[in-house]
Amino acid sequence: MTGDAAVFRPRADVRFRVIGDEAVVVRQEDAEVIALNEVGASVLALLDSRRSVREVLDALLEQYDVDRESLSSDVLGFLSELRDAGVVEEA
Amino acid sequence: MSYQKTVLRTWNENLLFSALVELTYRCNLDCVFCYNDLGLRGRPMTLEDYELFFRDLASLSCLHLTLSGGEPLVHPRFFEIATLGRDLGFVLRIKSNGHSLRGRVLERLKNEVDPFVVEVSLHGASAETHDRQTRVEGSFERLLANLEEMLARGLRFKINSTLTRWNEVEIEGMFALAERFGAPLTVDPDVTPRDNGDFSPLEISATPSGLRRLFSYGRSEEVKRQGDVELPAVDSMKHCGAGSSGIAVDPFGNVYPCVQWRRPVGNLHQRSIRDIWSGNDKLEEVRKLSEEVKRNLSGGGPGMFCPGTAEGLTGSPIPRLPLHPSSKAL
Repeated sequence: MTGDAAVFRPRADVRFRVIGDEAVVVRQEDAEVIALNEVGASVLALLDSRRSVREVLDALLEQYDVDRESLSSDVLGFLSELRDAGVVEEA
Repeated sequence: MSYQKTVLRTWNENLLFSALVELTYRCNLDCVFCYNDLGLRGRPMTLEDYELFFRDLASLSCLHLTLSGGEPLVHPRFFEIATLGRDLGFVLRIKSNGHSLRGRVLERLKNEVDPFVVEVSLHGASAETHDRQTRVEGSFERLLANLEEMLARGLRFKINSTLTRWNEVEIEGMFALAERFGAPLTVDPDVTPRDNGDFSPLEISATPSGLRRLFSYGRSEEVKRQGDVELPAVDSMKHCGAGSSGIAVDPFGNVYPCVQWRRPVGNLHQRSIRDIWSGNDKLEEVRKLSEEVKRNLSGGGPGMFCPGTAEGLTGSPIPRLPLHPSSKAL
């Protein structure tokens, strides 16, 4: 179970850009392209091998008007999906 | 939001998404129909120039970066430039003739650059034809050996070819070769004039029967123009993304809407790409022309028409007959 002290980073074969309010993610290994929505793009842009999930949540709370508990649940679920999809890994 | 919608957005909103960079016009082959303007002169881009340029591209959210030439691998600072591209998070493509892709060079390319794909050029299904076009004896056998090595090292590659009257009778053999390597083959049906307006390469353009042979044999995704990075087809007001989501840059910093549309819109020695990209009358004109081309082809879809090539051939990017027999506009 991933906690909010965990630190995530994009995997080495992942390339991405945030374009406006969305992100295009390319997984080079499998030549797969994934498009993320605005919140997904914001989360991915914050994963820099240094910020913990807690710090990512802090940054997101400054951008979005949402309560911490539900945001935490959503972000942890999203990170789990990104990990399963081969986009991120724990640093 | 799907990837296709993102690409459409880059076209419609003029978001720079891909750049093709010709690092040098030097080459270790000597192809008969090479389109480069070998007489073009100017101040070459330095490593420092590329660093500034790539950082600007990344800050503009440009994702795709293609290093081309000439032969990009003969640029003395190729690995530094390419590694810079990797470090800045671009999806890197290397367009190479494949001649030097072996041994230590290949090892460095895999380990230091880690490109998304290497695109290599095939000129025929036999040494006789391939070497005739490259004018370097042994280049065919060397390419095949290099492709074997790339396969063994796990480097993804695709194969590009241009149909000519010399190789048109070998088209089935070229597809068989690509299949042997498990690599996609894209065949461009058109030889184009050189970028200096020299039409002599067209002397080996494919014959009508060669074109029919290609169009009857190749699937639609295998027969298309070699332009910029391959992106999904989108239904936009524009014909293509030239100057709207993509650019090309020559070794001297001249910026063009596309590798095939050689209408200069700025120079990186004088202005940053950020400045060139915004509020540029020349780019605006290209974008409007792209819409006009789309309107002129309306009902027929984009087909094989290329405004850049048309401008090089006729002086106008607007479609005029005859188009290719494959074009839905006919």
